Amino acid sequence: MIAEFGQISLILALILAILLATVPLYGAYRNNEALMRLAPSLVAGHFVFALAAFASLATLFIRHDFTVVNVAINSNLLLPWYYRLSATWGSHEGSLLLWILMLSGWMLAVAVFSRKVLPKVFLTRVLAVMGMISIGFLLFTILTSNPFDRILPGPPDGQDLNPLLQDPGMIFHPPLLYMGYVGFSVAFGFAIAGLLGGRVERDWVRWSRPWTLMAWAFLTGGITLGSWWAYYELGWGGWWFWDPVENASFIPWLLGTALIHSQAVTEKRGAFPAWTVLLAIAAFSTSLLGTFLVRSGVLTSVHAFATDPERGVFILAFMALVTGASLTLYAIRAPRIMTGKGFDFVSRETALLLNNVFFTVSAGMVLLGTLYPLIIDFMGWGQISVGPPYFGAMFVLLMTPVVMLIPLGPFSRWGQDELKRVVSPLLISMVVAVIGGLVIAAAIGAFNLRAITGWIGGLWLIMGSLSYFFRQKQATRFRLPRGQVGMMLAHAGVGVFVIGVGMVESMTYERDVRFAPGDSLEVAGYRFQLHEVAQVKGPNWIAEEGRFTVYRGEREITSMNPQKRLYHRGQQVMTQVALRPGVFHDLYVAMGEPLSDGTGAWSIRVHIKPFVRWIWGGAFLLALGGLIAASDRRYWRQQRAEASEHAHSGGEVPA
Amino acid sequence: MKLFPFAGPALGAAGLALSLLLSAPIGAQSEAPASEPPGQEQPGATRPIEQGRMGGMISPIEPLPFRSELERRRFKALTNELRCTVCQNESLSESTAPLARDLRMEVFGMLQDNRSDMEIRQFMVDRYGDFVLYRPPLAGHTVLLWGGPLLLLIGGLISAVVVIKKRRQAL
Amino acid sequence: MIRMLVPLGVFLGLVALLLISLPTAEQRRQVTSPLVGREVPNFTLPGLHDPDVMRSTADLRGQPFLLNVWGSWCFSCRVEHPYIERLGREAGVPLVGFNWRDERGEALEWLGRFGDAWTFHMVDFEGRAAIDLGVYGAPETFLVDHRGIIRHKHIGPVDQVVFDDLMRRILEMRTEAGS
Repeated sequence: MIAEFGQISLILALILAILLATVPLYGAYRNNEALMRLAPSLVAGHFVFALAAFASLATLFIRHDFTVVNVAINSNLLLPWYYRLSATWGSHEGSLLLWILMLSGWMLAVAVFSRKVLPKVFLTRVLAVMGMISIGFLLFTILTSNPFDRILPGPPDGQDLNPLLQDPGMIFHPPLLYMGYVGFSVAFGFAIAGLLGGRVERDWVRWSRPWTLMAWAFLTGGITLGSWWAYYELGWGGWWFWDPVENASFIPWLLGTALIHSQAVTEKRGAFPAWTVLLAIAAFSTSLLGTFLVRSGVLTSVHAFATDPERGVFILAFMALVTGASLTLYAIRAPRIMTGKGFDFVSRETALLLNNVFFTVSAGMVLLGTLYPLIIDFMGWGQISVGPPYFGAMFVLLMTPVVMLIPLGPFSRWGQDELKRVVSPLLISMVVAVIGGLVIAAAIGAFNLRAITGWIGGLWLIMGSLSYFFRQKQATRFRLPRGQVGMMLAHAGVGVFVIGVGMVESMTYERDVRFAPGDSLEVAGYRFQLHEVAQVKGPNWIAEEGRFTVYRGEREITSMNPQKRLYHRGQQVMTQVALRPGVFHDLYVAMGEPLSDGTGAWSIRVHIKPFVRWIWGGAFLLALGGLIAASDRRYWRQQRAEASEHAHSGGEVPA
Repeated sequence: MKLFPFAGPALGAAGLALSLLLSAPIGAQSEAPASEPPGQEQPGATRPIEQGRMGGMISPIEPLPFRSELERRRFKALTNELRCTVCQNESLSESTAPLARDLRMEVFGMLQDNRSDMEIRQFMVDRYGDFVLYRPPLAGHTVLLWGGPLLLLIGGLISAVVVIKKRRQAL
Repeated sequence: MIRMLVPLGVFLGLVALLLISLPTAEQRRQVTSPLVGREVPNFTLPGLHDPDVMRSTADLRGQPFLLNVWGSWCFSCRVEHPYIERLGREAGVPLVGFNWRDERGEALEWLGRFGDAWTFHMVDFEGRAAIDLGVYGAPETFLVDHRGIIRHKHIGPVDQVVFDDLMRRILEMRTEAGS
């Protein structure tokens, strides 16, 4: 019964979405108040039924209803309840349901929180556009990927959730990631609603900013969590692989980063309006593209869902429709939108424009590299692989100027400025960064280009943020708007990230060692000693567990117990690494295999990863900065607040 | 409470839809998941827990007797940049496929024979094609790959200058 | 106005590329061998039934032959076995078994159970020669012409369609060698 209830809920959500995408929109067109007022209630109903469908599937998983194909394939009697819950979105079908739930949630949030700020016509258009997107995903789910399909009679027990996904990180990674992907649909909805109205107004760009910032922050968090998961779960100690699936999430992130910066210019100065609209379309469209790449099987990836070309055709058609229609609308309407105030070569507009050039080109580079094997294949030129050496080198080249320029941005004035005036308050930061970077690198023995440039670049960003903070603190008498606090946190976060990357990529210690019980390895002041390899049992797996004790000098600091697990169902083998996280370095031990020399020895990988936490710490600051900026009160007040806004950002626009 | 004044009509529509639906069959039964058609296979795939391996996978964690730190680094760099042909998308250094292990041993053996990195890469390309190189060689068909981002960047910077020049007049 | 159409044009190009690439996704999973069109690597390996006899690809120089990579651990090899038998009977060319990463006892037992359709077998238990041949899984079937050039490589099990294709290619090679 529950499956049927879920099924009906899905179809009801679809009907409400269809109503939402048509009736209130017609009302907006005819300026019919009554029809427009339907929108929020339709949105509420849509959310309720999406939630009901999702809750139904979750219940089926919790209750082991193996007559539902999706449950039978992705769960079994031994799976603990929390992984049964996360198995709800572990499969292709379930993850679509999560996607729909998130979309309906964002729609509800817009309806509730922007209802006082947005003019009724505009709000109606935004919700109707999002409703159209929901129609596409609901149809996709119901027609090609129904999570409620039954199999009668059901098997007595199910198969298994991919053991790689049986991990706490994987419970939270997809929801966060989808919050980001789907969140860009709000910015998209605003952009399309603006185009439909025929004019880009600074007001609605301001109202869309907090939504874009939130979506971007969630996407940042989701990607970070994915990277962290790959680090400890795959067992090889890497944190980013430039796999097509990772790239699929990274392209929208890069475009989203460009978008939050160009929105700032358009809101404050009315410049680049058409570009901002285009970026909003591009950020969401590449989210759809990512969905296509992950689920169609067109590219070979380690992380892809069970793929199906037929589903690929559906998403491709949907993407062609959504993006094609938006870009056509853009071509028709964009020339009519306003162009705003002028600016000079040295100005904040220029700084933000450069940000947009570098981030958009980076997104283009990642897209080109990801799809290039397809182009080569299409031309009949054979088969090539584009991998980390290409993406890594290109990305570092493109981001180096960005790192150098970031601190200059906030210090430059809108409209017109002088280079000397912009640079002079940063001279101290520059000197501190260069000298500090060299001193630190020398002190820790990191005599290589990557580590040194990482330290100098990172300190430059952190110092730049700090000096801006102290200047603004004086100028605003300790009442910094949250938008600025968020920006400084995020920029400093980039600095933390850069330091982490520079250190991990140059100073990682890695050894594959033969360990027999009783053996020990001394490295970097630590001594790893293996006592025994024991058999342990989990709820749905058995494992060989290495029992290590780690000493620093004579002092015992921790015990580490990496495992090699064999999951009962499907007989998959998983490496469960043992980690001792630290601010300055992680200790990392992974089990290889028993060596066949009869001594009970194992091959063991020992890593010491310096500053690896700084990579995720920096990314966390980025996400936090985005959320803080999104909570700036300026975004949540009505139009009449225009007057007091100048007082609020007084320190920022001295002119 | 003015938030959803039309919740009533919405629920009415939902009820109407519900009655429409109940007259139609829902949740049609789907076929049981079919087993995979036979394809190519890997050695070890059907002999679990044999020769110290479990599930036909061979961990890439291997203590190899390198002669120097430099050799260790070269091995790591080479196996990172060579793609495993049988895997989804993994380098030799992280693949658990038995063939990847054979190839790692081949790389190790060639390092012991004092062969250069270039020779080792060429050895792989001769047998498995350009596909194994994660760093595609710069050639006619990859000019756009390596030069594309540069072209995009130049184009972007030029349009930025054009935009700024135009906007200056509005000052 | 034209300028505003650029994003749409780029996007449509992208969609076209993805649409074209979707049906060929399966083919791209098979790595085409650079060895096709080149001389078959010359290696000498022990026989399966007769470990003391060294078998070499050079032994067959002057006539076309088929080289079939198999292992007793490989289920698909069992599936293609009837077609391999037919190839042995109907193709009129030597059929060389390349027994890859196997064990002698198991391989012989496998042949005893399913029938030995091959002219002779060479064994590569270590997997070294397989690398020279660019093998990356089993089964794989190579078609070599009378000059010792690899003319074709099939990846995966032989079925009726592949069987017909191989027969056609062998016939073509015959007429070519005859003229």
